[in-house]
Amino acid sequence: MTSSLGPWFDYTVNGLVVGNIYALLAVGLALIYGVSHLINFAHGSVYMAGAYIGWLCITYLGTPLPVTLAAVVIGCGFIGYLIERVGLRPLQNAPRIAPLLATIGIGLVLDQVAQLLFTPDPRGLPLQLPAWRIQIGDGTIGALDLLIAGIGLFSALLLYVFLRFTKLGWAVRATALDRDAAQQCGVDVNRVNSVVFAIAAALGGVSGFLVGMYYNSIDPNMGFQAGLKGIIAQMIGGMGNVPGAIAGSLLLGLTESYGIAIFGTSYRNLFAFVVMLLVLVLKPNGIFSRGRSLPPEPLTGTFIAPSAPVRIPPMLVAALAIIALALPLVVRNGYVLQTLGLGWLYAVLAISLTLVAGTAGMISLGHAGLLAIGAYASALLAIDFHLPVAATVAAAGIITAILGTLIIFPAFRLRGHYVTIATLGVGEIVTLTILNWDSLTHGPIGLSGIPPLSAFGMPLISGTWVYEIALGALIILALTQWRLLGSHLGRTLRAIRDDDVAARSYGIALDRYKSLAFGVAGFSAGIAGALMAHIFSYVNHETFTSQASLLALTMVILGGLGNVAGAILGAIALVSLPELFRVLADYRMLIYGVALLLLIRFRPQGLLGTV
Amino acid sequence: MTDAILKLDRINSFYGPIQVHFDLTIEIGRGQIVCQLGGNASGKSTTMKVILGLLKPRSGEVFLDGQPITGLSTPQIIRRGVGSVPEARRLFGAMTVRENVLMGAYTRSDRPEINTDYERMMTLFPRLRERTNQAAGTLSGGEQQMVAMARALMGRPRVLCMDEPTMGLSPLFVDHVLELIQAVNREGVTVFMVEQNASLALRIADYGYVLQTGRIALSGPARDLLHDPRIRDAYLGGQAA
Amino acid sequence: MIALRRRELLLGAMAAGLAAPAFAQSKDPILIGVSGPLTGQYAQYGAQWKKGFDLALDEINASGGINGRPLAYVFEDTQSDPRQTVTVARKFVADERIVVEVGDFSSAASMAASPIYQAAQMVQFGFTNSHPDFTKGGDFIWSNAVNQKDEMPLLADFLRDLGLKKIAVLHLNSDWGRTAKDLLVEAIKQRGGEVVGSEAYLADEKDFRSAIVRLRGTNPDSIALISYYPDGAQLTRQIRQAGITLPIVAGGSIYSPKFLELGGADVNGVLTTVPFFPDDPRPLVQKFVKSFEAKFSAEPDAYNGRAYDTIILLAGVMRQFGTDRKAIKDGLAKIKDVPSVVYGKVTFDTETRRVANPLVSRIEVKNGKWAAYEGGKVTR
Ligand SMILES: Nc1ncnc2c1ncn2[C@@H]1O[C@H](COP(=O)(O)OP(=O)(O)O)[C@@H](O)[C@H]1O
Ligand SMILES: [Mg+2]
Repeated sequence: MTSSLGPWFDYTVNGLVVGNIYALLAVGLALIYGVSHLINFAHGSVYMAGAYIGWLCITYLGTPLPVTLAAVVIGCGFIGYLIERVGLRPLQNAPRIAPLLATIGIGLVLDQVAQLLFTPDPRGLPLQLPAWRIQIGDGTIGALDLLIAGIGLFSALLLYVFLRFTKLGWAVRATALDRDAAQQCGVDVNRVNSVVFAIAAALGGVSGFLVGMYYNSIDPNMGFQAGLKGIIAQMIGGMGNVPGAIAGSLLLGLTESYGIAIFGTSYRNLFAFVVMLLVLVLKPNGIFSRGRSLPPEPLTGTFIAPSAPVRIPPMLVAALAIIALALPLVVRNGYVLQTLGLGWLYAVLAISLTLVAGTAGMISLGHAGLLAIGAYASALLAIDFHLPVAATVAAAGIITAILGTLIIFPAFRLRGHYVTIATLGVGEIVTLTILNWDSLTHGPIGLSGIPPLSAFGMPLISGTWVYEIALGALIILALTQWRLLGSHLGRTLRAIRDDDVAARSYGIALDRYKSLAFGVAGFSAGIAGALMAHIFSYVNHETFTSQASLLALTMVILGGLGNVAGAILGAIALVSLPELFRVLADYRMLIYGVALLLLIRFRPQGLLGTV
Repeated sequence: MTDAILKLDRINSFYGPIQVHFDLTIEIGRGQIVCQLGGNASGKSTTMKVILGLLKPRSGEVFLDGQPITGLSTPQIIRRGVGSVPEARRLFGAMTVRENVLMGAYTRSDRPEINTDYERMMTLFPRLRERTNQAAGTLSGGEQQMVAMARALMGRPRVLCMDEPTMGLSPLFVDHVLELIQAVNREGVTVFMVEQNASLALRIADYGYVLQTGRIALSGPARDLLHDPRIRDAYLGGQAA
Repeated sequence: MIALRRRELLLGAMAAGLAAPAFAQSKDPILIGVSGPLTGQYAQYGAQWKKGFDLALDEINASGGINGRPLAYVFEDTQSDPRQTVTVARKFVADERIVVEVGDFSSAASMAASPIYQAAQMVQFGFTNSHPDFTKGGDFIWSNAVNQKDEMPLLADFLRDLGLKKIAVLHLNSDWGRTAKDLLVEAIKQRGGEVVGSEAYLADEKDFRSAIVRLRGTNPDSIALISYYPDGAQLTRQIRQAGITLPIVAGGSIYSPKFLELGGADVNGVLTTVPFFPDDPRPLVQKFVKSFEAKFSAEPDAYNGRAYDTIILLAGVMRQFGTDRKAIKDGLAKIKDVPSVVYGKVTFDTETRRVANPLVSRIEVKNGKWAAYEGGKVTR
């Protein structure tokens, strides 16, 4: 059984085969980023759509492979066109965070629609190719591996010819380099955008179809993870750099394969995210770039929308707080109190995020990582050291403040999209570290038997207590943060957000202020995580995923970035809405996605406005 | 001026809540060189954006040859014969000089004529011929200015809008660029240029407008303005007008 | 604080007491609260549950419901996420019409909600919760899923009987997969076998080539899988494509017709142990399979079967002991040898609140079909 070439040869082949698959996705993402300066989180969903279009053709029409491929190209190209035309173009003049969130919403909607149409069950996608396999090393390679590599190379070549030698290709490159200047040469950049989205979506769809055949399995949720890998790959290769995306994909495939070889299978994604973060910090332009300097973000428009915040009189705030505190006297339903209590805890998370994302301008997609740190810190202190819960919760706040700031620190010099991706990576790294650091965290088994919240030895588990404790924590933390924002610190942070170059030139020590912001935010998020751990009595690595980060960011945007009252409103709305939508059962997430899109479309500055 | 090729009529433009232009009216006579002067942040570049359709004014109209073009998109306006040399050149840095210049002919499809025009540009700007396959971003400031002008001229514009064409150039090059502008104008292209350096601009212009916080503070034939004592105040951004 | 809680309990009890007399005459349906995934990564399992539930309810309500009242369920989507199961639990316990809870899918998500059901004295009936600690949440926490503590030794027996001694294990890196793996490793050792290597993979992984290369390096004589059917099928395909012909023995959770569809020819010869499979000649099973195929035009899988069995079981308890929350708990302890599609007969062990002495059948994939394993040599 042992081969002459040894396992390393096999690991290398495996890495290249997988990288090959990532490449088809990464190329499309790079094209889109190049032209629109947009990370398209909906790309994974188009990949899924490609797989289903292929499946429909084969199952119902019995089409041969070339026809199936053509149908996937056309179908997904059209979906890509629609995404740009209907979903993104209306946001052209919105702040650039808006289209980013819109792609997330579109992805959610597409996945949910597919789930409703095709059921969530995975389906087989029969291979339309001869089944022969070539022995390479100890493993084998099949016709489909070669086809995938062939299509990868062929589309790269086609793309090269298109970009180099056609007029439209030149327009694409010019638009990518300078959108305004391209317009001034008479380029209809909207059309270019449509074309690029169509091409990228066609590529993404083909890769979804091929991968579906490759694994003989497709399902409506197959896109998210795949899209994420594509994003990492193109980040490694350099955002918007097409050849870089291909090289980055192969490198990512190899890194994962070698990571598995050395550390074991469950380290795969940890490796992928660590490599991405290293590249982001050391070579933000991708490993093939020369400089360490950040690529310029577009000159027009800002990442965050400026707007006039809605002023809420302090008396009204005080009155609302008292009404909220007194609510359990009237409402006795444990379910309602639990839901609102969770809402208050999410509000703590949201005010924490709105401080770093809104006030300090670092849009974070990894904030749930802070919740996880707080939850584990408090739970472990309570379980392993039998400390009283009140003490462990406070300690969790401090531990999260310190640890959170330290792990985000390397990302401080990044801006715009780069922060978003870096924090997404940090969040995943926290989760994956929890999963793999068995001796401390009990790995996948998680922590069960976490003692409930208690005071003076008395457990406080009723819905009323959950509600009051969460609300109490929120009021204290929100007041603190509100005072802080009115101070010199708040003004300095906003100055950094609006123009960090200018802020630096006034002699503001950016790192120190960003650390302060993250410290305060980490404390709040840590408290929220700790309280959640004691309320749930069980946490594991999946309790606080990127979905929770995304939810938190949506809350913050819904309320208005940097706006404390807005964050609280957003949290309560987004925790309660899905509960109200419960009657809709299977349609719940779809409606949530649509609501998110409508919000971004019609009120990108949030309900209460950006501060 | 009766025969205005381009006319801005009582323009009021805004960035969000901030108003930049207040009832701005400018006429650009056919075949002339018209310059727009004014201090920093007086709204000069914004005038260009309004003409090119990059910023829609809240009220007022822009006319090209008597036709309103206010609602049109930038590419449509370019197609109607407006050329643009944007502020700070804005070349496609990673594309070659040749590609940049030919991008200017994007709206045209007459292949042989494009090639002839390209040759003419290389004759007009001989320094570029040696650098056709060099990435535009690696050129010197003056050379970049030439690429930007060649790119704009490739569209065969009837009006050429230039935003601070001499900015950041060495004095030697400034004179050269001004000569080139005159040469282009002699071939029948109307030139509308923005300049901070008033005396230089007025030397080659036919007519001038002085902008102050979004209002015309002063206008008249270039020769008159050159000798007007108030020009210094306005150009320095003073209060008097 | 205690007073407050007491009062809440009192209110709950009063509400139940007030409602009780109305039960007899009312035609309002009796409700079962289902907490499970309808969206998110486990959505397919929730969809399978529904089919089993619906079929069971058809039969129950066609034969008079629960003493004249129809039986129905309220399915709350939790995405099998512990945050949402807790909220749904509060909702169910506050809703007087709901007499018993069923679910959630993953043990982790279910266990997060257990304290609430326990405190409210409402049965939490987990029918997919194989985690050994699940029913330890209190005397209202019950399960008819095979405890991994029972299943894994049976799987180890199978391996021993097949003469397999050097086993490489691939398992899903979740609380479920990890717990099962630890139990399997222990059981194999007790039977004189050796686990030469084990690899944990993540839930949404599709590519296992490198994991397989790693395991091959340990020179095993067989591979054990602790997986659900989609990942199990994927693993088997990729093991075969890597040219490895070793016997593959998997935990019962891979059992599904979908395993065959997704695995294709490569899954032939895969062995597993299940309490339920449709080719089981027992008349009860055949009747279930027939009516399932008539209603859904598809062969039922283990999740359909368990869901069906659970509702039939609970309906039986309600018919016999009443629909009071507490009566259901007491009833579960009293029932004996209730016919079951999955187990043949069900009696609960009142200590563990799990099915006593669950039996499993050994089955294998033969010519693209699940079939009883008939002993003898392992097909390679
Ligand atoms: N994209 C923009 N968004 C908001 N304000 C702008 C923008 N561009 C320019 N401004 C503001 O509009 C005013 C006029 O700018 P501009 O036309 O560029 O002046 P000039 O070219 O005369 O220096 C300035 O106060 C400037 O700050
Ligand atoms: Mg300017």
